[in-house]
Amino acid sequence: MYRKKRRFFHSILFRISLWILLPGIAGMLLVAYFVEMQMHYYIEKQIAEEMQRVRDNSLLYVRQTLLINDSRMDVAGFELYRNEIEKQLSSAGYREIILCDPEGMLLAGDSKVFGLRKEQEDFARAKEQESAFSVRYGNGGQCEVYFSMPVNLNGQFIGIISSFFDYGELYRGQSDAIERMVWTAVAVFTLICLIIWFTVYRILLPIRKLSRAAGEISAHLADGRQGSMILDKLQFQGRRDEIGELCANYMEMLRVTEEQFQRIREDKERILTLWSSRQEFYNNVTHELKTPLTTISGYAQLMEKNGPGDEELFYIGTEHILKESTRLHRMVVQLLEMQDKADAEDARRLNLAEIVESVTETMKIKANRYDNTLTLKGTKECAPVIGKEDKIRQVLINVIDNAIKYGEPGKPIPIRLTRQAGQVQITVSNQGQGIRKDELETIFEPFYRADKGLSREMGSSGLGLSIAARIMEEHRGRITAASIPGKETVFTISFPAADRKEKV
Amino acid sequence: MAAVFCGCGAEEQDRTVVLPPLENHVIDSEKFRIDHIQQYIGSGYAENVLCLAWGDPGTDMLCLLKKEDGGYIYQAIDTGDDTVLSSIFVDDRSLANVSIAPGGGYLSYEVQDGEEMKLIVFCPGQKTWQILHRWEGSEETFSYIWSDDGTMLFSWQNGDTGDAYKEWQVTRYEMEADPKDGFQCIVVRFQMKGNGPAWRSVCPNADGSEIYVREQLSTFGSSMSNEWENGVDGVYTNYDVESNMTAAEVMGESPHTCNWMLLPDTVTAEALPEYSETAVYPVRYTQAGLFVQEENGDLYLIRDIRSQPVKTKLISGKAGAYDPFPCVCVNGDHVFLMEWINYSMYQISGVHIVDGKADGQPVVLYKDNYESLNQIKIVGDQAVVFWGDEFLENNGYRYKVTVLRY
Repeated sequence: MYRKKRRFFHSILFRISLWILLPGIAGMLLVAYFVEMQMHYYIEKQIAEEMQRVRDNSLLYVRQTLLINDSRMDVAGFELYRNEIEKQLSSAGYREIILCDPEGMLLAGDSKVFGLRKEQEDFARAKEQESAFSVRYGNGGQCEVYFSMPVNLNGQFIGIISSFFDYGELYRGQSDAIERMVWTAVAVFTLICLIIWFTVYRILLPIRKLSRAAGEISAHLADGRQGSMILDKLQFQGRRDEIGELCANYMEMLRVTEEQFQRIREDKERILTLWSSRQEFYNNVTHELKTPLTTISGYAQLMEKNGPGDEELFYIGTEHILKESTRLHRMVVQLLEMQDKADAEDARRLNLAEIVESVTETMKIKANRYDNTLTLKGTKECAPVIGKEDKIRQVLINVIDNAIKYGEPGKPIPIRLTRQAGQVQITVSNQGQGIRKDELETIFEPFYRADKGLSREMGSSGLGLSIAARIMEEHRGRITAASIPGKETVFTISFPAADRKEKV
Repeated sequence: MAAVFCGCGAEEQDRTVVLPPLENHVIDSEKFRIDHIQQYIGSGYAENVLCLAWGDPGTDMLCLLKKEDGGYIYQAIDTGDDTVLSSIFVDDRSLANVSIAPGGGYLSYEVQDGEEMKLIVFCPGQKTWQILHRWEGSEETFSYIWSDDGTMLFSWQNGDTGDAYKEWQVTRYEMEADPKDGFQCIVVRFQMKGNGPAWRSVCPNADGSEIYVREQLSTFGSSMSNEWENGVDGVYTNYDVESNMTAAEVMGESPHTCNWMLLPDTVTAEALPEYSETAVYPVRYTQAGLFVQEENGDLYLIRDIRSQPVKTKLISGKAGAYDPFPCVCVNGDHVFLMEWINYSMYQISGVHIVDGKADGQPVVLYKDNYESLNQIKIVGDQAVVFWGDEFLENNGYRYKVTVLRY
């Protein structure tokens, strides 16, 4: 909860809200303050204009009252006809009228009112022969105006008039109008804020979703479940704006990342498999080397123990030692052959058809021994390839030998040579138990051997197909196997065809 | 919240503002000074007073015709000491269009006498009556104006045919004292050819030797226009049983406005050129020129009206809520404006006319409350007199006369 709160306070939405609200409210207060000031200014301006008219009228009323009464326009006349003047002013709408002599002494009017009025600045100004008004704004919308003026007639200061005017209605009217205006502005501002907030919220929503998606992806990065499930949730394909572009780029980045992750996983598995096969290879090598050595060592120890007198043991032991040492020698040779890389400079142009025919003839003896028949089919024309003859012969021998060993007795083993699309292919087929589909991938690994019960020959090292695959790789060719278990197995050897015009 | 948004509205504030010095027009009021103000408030109800007139210049005499005891009484009152100088019975019939000549020497009125209407002039000094005009029925509209010296009565009324749009009359009745019959009356009548529905204005000069007449169609100054036939059949004379009368027939020249100068002494009429592109209403014809007022209240002076009229603006706009009512002295150098400031307060302003131009803005001379202000007159270019009704507390009115001497 606390983290969510913190996140909200650092969010763009919160900042934008602050940027809008704070200056907005400050601006509103400022505007309200200036409007209030302006209202006071205009009210006072209006009052000032009216007070100037009141001053002009007052002088006129005093003059005409004195003229009507045939009075001199002096202090004595003003004092003598103060009641008539007060009456005249009263009929003109003046309220709380105070008439004073030039010294500020009350001539006519309420003494209580005069007691308050004489303390006011406008009255003091009038004594200094200046017309002034004091405006008092009250709590309840009151606007009271107290106006005091000197009476100057014919250049003579003859008295002071002070009166009261109520501008409350005007003030309240303007205050109400301003208040309505301010509230309207507040409502409009609030509405604008809400619209902006909603708009910003809508704009930021995809970014927030992206952020959440990135978080989820980070959380599941280790277990590799960041995939399209999370991306599907975003669904911003409809947007064409910057946000849509950002999302599209982000999704593309995730896709590439996912591909890279997949590749890394595959490479990792491949490395592990390779490491495992290497380990198995060494295990096999040591095991295969250890077995004949154990036999040799065992017979040698027995012969040493029994001495030269045990002839039977001598002959049997010698036979086993020779047999196992021969086998050991052959295995070592084969291992060396596996490691022996073909030298490109030793490669030459060969006629594969001749090699196939030669190897077939050679292997027919073994095929006959296992009651199989080798049949050579396909083209007998020149099939030129580039390579080393002994290596190619070994490939063919290994594959045909394998077909003989694992073939069903009495069944033919067809060997077909074909040439197509820049390739020269040799297929060797046999009929027998075949190879399971899951084993097809591993039969070219060193020391791989199928079920030993299936083989009709003892003492196989399990390196034949592996050596064949390595040789084909050196010749930029390939060897593949296809099998229908219980029916047929086909080995295909492909060489890149050499230029036919060149002489073999 | 409202208090926050409305700033310092909730606080009490006191401010004192000093007004600038008196404005120029107040100081300028010294240019047009009223020397004396006299007020007279009559006894009785104002509803019974039909007409008032101030006596001779320089006197405090007030003349009036009031309804009393079932008849009409002419009274001369000394307003100085509020005494009735004379009280004379005038008529016991129903009077209309009563008009007292300046100085109170004559009184004119209309009266229904059987089927006949009569225009009668009464001379209080000699207690004699003269019937100036008789006509059948009462539909005709008469307007009257006395000359400044109070010896000539000018009237304009519909013609005898009854078609007021095509025919009307302007008449000058000149009273001459006659030791035998009290007074005699010489009548000069101008038979006017009308141009249709129109404003008709008649302005005699001070001695009655010239009568300016303007006929202005109601469409003048607007986009509408009407064509009316004008014609003249020559000059003819007629004789009234009770007065010597000379008559002339006058035609207009413009389809929209007609201006004439009638010269009763020679029984001739001059057609005058038009001087305004907008509708104007003549106020006073003086030796300074013709004063006219436009509909917006602006006052103009037309000089050289008989030759090449020149229209000069004197006063513009209106000060109060209503159009000012102008009053011009006989010499044309003092103009007074009666303006209603609101429904009950009016003011009298005045301005000098010097060389055909107003000498500054009008100066407010007097302000007062009146229920209604009936008439304003200038007496002998010495005083402006106006009277009206003042409300009484017992649901009645009394008349109040105010004299501003300048």
